[in-house]
Amino acid sequence: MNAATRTLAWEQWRSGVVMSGLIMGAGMVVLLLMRLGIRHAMMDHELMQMTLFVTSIATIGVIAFTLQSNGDVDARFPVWLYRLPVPAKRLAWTVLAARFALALAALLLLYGTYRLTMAQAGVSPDRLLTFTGFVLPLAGFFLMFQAVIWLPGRQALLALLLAVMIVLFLRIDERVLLPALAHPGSALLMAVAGVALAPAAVYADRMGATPFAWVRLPERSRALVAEPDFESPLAAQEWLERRETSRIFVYIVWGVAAMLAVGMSYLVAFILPAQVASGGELYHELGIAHLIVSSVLGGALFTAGLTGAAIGIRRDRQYRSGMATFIHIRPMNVLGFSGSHFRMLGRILFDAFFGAAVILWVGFTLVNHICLLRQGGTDMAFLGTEYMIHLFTLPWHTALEPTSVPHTMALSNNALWLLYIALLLWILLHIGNRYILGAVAIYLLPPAVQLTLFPYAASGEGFVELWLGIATGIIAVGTLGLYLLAVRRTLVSKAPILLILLAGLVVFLAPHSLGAYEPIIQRIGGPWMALTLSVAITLFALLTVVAVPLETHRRRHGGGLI
Amino acid sequence: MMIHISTRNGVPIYLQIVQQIRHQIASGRLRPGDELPPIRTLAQQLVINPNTVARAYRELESAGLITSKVGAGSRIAEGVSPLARRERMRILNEVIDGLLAEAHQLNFSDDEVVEALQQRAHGMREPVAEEETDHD
Amino acid sequence: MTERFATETIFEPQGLSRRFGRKQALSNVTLTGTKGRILGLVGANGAGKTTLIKLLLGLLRPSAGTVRVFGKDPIAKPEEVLARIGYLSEEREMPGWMRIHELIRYVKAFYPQWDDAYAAELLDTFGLDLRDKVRTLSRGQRAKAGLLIALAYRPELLLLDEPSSGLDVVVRRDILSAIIRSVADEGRTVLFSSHLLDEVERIADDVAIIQQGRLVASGPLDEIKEAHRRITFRLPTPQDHCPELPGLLMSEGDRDTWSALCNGGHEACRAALAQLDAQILDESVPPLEDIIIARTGKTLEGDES
Repeated sequence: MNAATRTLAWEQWRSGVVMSGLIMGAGMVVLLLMRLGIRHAMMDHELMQMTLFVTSIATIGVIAFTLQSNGDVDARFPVWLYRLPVPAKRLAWTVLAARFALALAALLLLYGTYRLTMAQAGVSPDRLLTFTGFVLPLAGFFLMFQAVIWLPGRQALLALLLAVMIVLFLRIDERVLLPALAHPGSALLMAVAGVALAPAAVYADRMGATPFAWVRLPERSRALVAEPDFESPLAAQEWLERRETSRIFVYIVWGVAAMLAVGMSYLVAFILPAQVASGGELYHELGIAHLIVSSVLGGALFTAGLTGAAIGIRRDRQYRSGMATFIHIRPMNVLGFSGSHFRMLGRILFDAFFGAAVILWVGFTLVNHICLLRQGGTDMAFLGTEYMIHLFTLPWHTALEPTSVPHTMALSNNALWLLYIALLLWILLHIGNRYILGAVAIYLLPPAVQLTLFPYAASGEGFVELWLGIATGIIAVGTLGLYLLAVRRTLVSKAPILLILLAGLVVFLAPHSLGAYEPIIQRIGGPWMALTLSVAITLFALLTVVAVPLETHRRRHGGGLI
Repeated sequence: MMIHISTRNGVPIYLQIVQQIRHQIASGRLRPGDELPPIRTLAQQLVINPNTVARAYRELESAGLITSKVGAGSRIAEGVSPLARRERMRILNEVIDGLLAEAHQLNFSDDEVVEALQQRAHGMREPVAEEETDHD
Repeated sequence: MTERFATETIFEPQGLSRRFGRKQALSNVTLTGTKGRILGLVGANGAGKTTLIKLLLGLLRPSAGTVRVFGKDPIAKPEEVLARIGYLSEEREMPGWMRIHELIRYVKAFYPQWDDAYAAELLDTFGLDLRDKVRTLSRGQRAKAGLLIALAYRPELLLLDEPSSGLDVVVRRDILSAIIRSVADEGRTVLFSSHLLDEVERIADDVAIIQQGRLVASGPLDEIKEAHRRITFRLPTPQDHCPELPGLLMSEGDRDTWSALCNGGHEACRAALAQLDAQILDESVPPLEDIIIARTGKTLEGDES
């Protein structure tokens, strides 16, 4: 390996390792937290496998997209390397090898954590995912996937790949498909394909090849259409925030919803008639399906948050501070900036989950009806619809999924774990906000350390209960102080106080209405514990409303609050 | 109108403009009634501060070489003859001043300079009274 | 050069200091930016030019001293101050994913006085394509795009941080020419930082020379230049050192012939030389570059690191 190759490889690591580390770390935290759920025997280990799978895919996906993505779907081989006097073959293989090493390390770490926690949780080893059934196929998949996204015309190819995968899952029996995919032979095949394809992809991209030029046509012409001016600076700012942080977020949730709609329709349309014919019911299957819907949506939220956060962190410092300058010199006060930030957050959550609800509802209804009419007539269609209403209750229930995400993600009656996940999501949405990070750390770190180090200590829950009470008090005082400071600096206007309280009330009530606190009351501490937890959650909402303007103000004026 | 600005020689930019316009008038390249470029245009062309151009124009105006009217721009003043002896003399003197300063540095006496001048003039038909070289 | 404009103060840092950890980036800077004038901020990389500009924008908080722009505190009233400022940063930061038309659409939303016709004209002059993404622009195009979004709302004050640094001659000329035009048309106030002295000498009305965070000299360019003289003289008897002269900043020479750069009091200088029986060989106004070298003891380009 000569100096140029070493530098190239190191560059890949340097730029990718922080973010991949973050994703891996977050993934391991999730797996460790899952262990708590399993310890209390409230959760299926299959969910853990799914989480492992989703987290791993997200991690290697992010590694594959590491450089030059900038929140844009158009990730490609780092173009500045084309200027180096190095043949395409060596460029491709060096970068591929460096990233593959990173991906493999991530997979091994996640898989190791999984094995370790499952062993501790007492799940029998023969029920676990095997090394050859998990790490190898994903490693092979990474190599192929990376080569494909380096190809010119990658968007079209990715869409094609996704379509093929969906068709495969729909048409081929999972008992055939999954073992086939998990076979070491397929892993090898994908790896060989990736390694062979990579130099060709890099060569073609370097030469500026443009296959599927027609695929990009709509984008070109869209750019020419004169868009109307923004109604207000606020609208412009919100647009920028949305484009900067969260396009991928929304797409992931929609994608998951679409796949679920198709999958569920398949379940209902093809299994229901047979079940009905044999006099059976589908409620059990539908119950499991519902769990899958909510947990995968929750998982999507989680991984989307991770991806968004990773993109934010991936930018080098200069670009980040520069971006901040570009925004901060606009004549807008902090009220405007934080207002547009909140609007952006509300908007992406709305887009993601309302969109998902509509996709699920429409997709399911259409496919379900077509299939049922073909196979069982109107009666069967009505039955299917009834099942579906039972399954989703109403579309807005799915749209409200974020509020019940902690519940469904946890799928356990462990209140603490529920809170962990909720607050982790909160951090992800406000990554980089020191006030929120600090408050979450105060709240979570001591119990996390306690429960991780001494998972079986009898005194553990007593300590945790005590600490959560104390931490709630600390955070209440801190929030009040920050609020007064923000009012004095006129960073929050006094008018929305009512709105803040209302929002707090909603945060307090919504989980109640969805039954999220039920398990808490059943499990630890009784109503008192449930009360401190809801106060804490309300406090975090209040804190956010104050912390975002304060942090915006601090960053805009180069630090300090005076 | 071609003007060349140099920031290397320490001569103020406005003075460089004044001198070069004077030369062009004296040599007949600019004639009475000729229009000077607007301040903005010349500033953009030379990549210099518009105030500097304005100052140069003011100097030229107070010397009676150009006339400015609001809205009509600046023109070379009527009656400024390219043959105006006074003006040509002034430019010649400038060159002579430079020559004398140089000669003194090199330890030549004034008589020696005059002698050298006559010798050179013998060789050439006419002495060229231009210190700046304009490339048109 | 003091007539014509009412001397209205546009920006006014007073006793301004800023410290980053242990590094004193700016110390005790007092300046006045007068309406309609172009102030060139001169100094080596890392001298504190960018810090000063960011303090004027309210993007940094002073460690000591005050900043007033349009008579207001840019930190207390950011939206009022920033609405009247156009800013081009040295890094020309703009989101890489934005296309030019998106960039314009975004920035336009913040400035009611945005001039579409002017923007279109600049777009044309600069040869920018609305469909291009910022990420794919060349260095020069990026600077042009940055200047476009800083000029098109006709701000009263332009703050330009190294507007032409790292650009080739042709692009630099385009950029400077556009700036000059915007100033000539509307009597706009400009503060631009630069380490290219040729540029400063051509464009600035006033200069402020800054070195290691301190203001070394400031004032109208002409006055600063006029106040300095390079005097070359010959001593009757050879000496190892240049004789003490009033306002002597720098000297070079050997034995009997010396060249001294002095500040102020030419008469006193000449009198001192006459007393020494020295013969003055030449006296001239030095180029800005020599003054700066004399004042700061170094060349600007040579100080980069």
